[in-house]
Amino acid sequence: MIGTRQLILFLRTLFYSAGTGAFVMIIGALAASVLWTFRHKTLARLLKPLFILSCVMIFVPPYVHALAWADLFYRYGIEGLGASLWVMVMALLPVGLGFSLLGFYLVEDAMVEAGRTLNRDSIVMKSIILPIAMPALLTGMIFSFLWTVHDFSVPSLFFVNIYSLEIFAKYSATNNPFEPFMLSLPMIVVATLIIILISSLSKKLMLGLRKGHTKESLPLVMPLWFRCLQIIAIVILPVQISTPMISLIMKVAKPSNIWISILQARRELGFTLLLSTLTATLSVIFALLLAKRVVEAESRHKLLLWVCILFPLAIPAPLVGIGLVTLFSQRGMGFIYGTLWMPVLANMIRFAPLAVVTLSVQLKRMDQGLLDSASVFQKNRIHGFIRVYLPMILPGLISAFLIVFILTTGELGATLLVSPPGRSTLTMRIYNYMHYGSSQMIAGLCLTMLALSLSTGLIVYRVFSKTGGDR
Amino acid sequence: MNQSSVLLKINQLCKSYENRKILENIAFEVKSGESIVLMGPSGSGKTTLFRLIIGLEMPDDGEIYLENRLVSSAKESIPPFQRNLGVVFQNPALWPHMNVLSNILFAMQKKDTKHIHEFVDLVIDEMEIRPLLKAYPSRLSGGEARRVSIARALASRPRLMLMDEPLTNLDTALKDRMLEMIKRVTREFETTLIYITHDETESRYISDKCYRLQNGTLTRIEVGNRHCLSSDKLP
Amino acid sequence: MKVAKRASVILCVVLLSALILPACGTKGKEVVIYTSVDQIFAEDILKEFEEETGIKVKPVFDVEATKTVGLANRVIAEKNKPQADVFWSGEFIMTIVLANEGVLTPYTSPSASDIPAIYKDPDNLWTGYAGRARVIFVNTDLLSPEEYPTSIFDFLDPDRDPSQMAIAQPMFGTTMTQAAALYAYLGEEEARDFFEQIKARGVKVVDGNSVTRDMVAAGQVAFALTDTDDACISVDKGDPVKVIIPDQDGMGTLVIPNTVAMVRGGPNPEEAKILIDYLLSKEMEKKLIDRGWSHIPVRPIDIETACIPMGEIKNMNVTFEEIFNYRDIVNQQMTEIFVK
Repeated sequence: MIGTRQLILFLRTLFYSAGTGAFVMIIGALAASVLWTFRHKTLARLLKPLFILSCVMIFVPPYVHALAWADLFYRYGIEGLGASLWVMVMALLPVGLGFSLLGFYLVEDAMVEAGRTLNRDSIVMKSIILPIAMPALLTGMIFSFLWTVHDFSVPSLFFVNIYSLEIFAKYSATNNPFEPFMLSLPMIVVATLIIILISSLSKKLMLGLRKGHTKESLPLVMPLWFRCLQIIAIVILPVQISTPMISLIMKVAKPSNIWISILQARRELGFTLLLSTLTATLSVIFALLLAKRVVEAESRHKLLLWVCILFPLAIPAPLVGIGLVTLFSQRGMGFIYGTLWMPVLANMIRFAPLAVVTLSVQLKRMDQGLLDSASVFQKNRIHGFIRVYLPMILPGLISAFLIVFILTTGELGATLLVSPPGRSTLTMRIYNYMHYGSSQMIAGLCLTMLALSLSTGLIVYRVFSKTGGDR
Repeated sequence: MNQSSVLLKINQLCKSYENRKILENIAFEVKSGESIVLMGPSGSGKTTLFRLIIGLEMPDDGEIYLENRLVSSAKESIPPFQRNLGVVFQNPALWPHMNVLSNILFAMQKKDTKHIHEFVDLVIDEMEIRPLLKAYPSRLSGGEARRVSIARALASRPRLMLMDEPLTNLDTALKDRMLEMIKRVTREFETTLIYITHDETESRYISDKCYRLQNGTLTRIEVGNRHCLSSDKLP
Repeated sequence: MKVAKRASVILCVVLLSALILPACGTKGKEVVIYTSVDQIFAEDILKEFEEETGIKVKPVFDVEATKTVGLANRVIAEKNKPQADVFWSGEFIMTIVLANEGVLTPYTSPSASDIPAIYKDPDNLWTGYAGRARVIFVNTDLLSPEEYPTSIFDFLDPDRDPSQMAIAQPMFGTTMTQAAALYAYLGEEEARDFFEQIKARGVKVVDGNSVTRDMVAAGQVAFALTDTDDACISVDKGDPVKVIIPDQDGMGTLVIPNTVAMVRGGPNPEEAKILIDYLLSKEMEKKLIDRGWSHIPVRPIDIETACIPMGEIKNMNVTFEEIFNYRDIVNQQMTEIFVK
């Protein structure tokens, strides 16, 4: 089925995507590890704003990063796989940093302190903190891997071809979703294998995690080489943020241009907000129902369950779209086809798995004792659910909501195929204008998205600090 | 071992959080082989003192000496693992990704788990956890987890053991058995013990030498005079 | 606790509004159009149509990033329950695909009566007009006028530095159409050889025609293949660039018309006809040229543009059907050659 040329392409794509995933997580983890090695005051004052900004950059499409870096790279004749990898790492660094922060935050203080009384801090980092944070780190890596596997637009800019280009070329030629599906099978198989591997690896790790906070302790003392790497990772963050920002601001030229782009895109803005809010809300509800079952499932069923839940992540976006169109454009489906519910469904298929992952982690961390006491004292189930269960799981709910919200805002491949006529998202508009090369307009819209996400990020940060979820 | 040599010496120790004084001019000594109990109502600074001795925090003023070596002052702090302490936290804090044996052997430099050091072997038997060695912490009961956590602290053969309310949430029968065990192993392994609790029975069982921490200051309670305990329960 | 309460209230509001919103649109006259014409041009035209006729237009715009697999495939997938009334494409290949898939319905628009028959489907399934041409785009700072390329075969000129040239990926879009036209004109062997040499020489192959345009404008390459609409944006901006219509002394260049078609079984056939008449009118063709989307009219229209050289443009002598027939072979061979 696959020729030598395709095999080489396939292997190179795996190498490129795995490399991107690894770099994203290494830089993210190094930067996030300062949670344990810096004094908290330094963290709060200097690094938190940097981290928030860096994470919010997830709203800037990789293509915008690519264009900003391409200006620089072309000047010095830098191209090829390395250049493309660097740009993807820059674009996905928010994923790496976000998952690493989550992972390091999950490590209970008591676990670390118990280790510190017995062994060197560097060994505590290596043998205790990293393994406990590993499920989150690996999840971030799979995520970056899958994203990279499907995005051929960035490599194309640096004259590199990857396997998904082949899939699209096939699709473009045949207009038959079956053939590209066959071609994408190897990719889906590899992605699924990685998911299985990681689910089985993290099975042990996820057990027995509970949240516990003690007082602020002295930061971990790490060897010089590690501190140097941390500093390099921290320095990369402002580079990651400023390169596209500066490029965007330069292109926008006048502040009034931002206003003009918002005004012109106000309908898309409204639709994007509605779509993303709805998708995120439903995904969270779906995840809430499912995560509890997954967490409580017998361990022999768990692996299968996880693979089923995560499988949609391995499917290329246009296939999700075409699949839904084929399925729902049958007679008698009019109540859903051509309505807002189609893109909601498409985005749920693509991103709800991540909400399940986030909530499962949160559920693992919940104090069973508190839930048990609620079941004794509650007036009825709803009362207990609203007053105890919901507030306890709130940080997880909010993170899951945000992850789905953000990804839905940026989704293109599937949304384009199922969005109701007359409605389009901000991302669809950005990509549309990208072709025209109207950089002012794109820059204005991207800056709008950034401002939007910054304010969302800040609100969520406030909610988190008020519910005491702040480390 | 010289029974009368001073193992831990604390000098004019002060610590405050956000302008609230937690510890004020705390001073006391612990001699080798001694078991002492530190009592006090919640929020009195017991855990803060415990964390200062371990080296997880730095004092604002004063010094801590271990075997005549300065380990903590406002300017410097020797890392916790270099203090040769055995520490048992309120929460057993067993690492979920390691089995019981790996948890216990964490402090050992050698990774060779096949040749368990004779001493560790002894500790395992004393704490009655041999059948649990391959199990992961999530499978342990509350009592088992405490025993493993004490074994882990003992395994590195510390000169000084610190226990911060290690028996909270255990039932009376189990608590009694554990107290018995703690008393036995500290005596057998000639370990000096600082035991933090607010439970009168526990304190009486561990030692007659009792310190009471309240309003940031430390008072010695003489043998037989346990009046402090009833006042502890007052707000 | 308050947070939880507030969160549940917000949740309820969102769900309710989502349930109500899709249902409450006014049911006046409307028409649904799927278009791959750039939003920046199409949006205003459709708005003007709304104002003139009172018919509400619900557009779905294609996005270049999806490599034309987007909307045409959506039309095919919706075969059983068509959503679209009108398909308006910036090229003709996907329109012929739709015609062959049986998802279009014949319509003879009165507005198209003066359009030559070669631009129309024999069964009236679609009509072409308002062409764009494949051109060579030159950076005038990097090349002096005597160095300007005049033919696409200059991409193979051994005296020119291949790293200073760029084309878009020939598996997609208008570059693929041009490749298919070359296959039809030169024959399979010679055309394949042309692209193999392009690859072997190390000519830069990039994501799309707007990228090749940007690279020329930024001076990253000396010249590149692109479409007139892409090129003219840069010319209008005042970049140091020039548009060359290639092979005017030889085989001519490929002119790609816009195509308009009516979707079979669409929900609003009467409104569709009104919109098609509007889009195919002579005034609209002029408008598309004036606004910079198209540059080569298919009927006599007085145009003034600073972007491309004035005068008659020599068109490649191949039919749309011939080009279309090479599509599968070209896609397969281009993928083999370029996706490595």
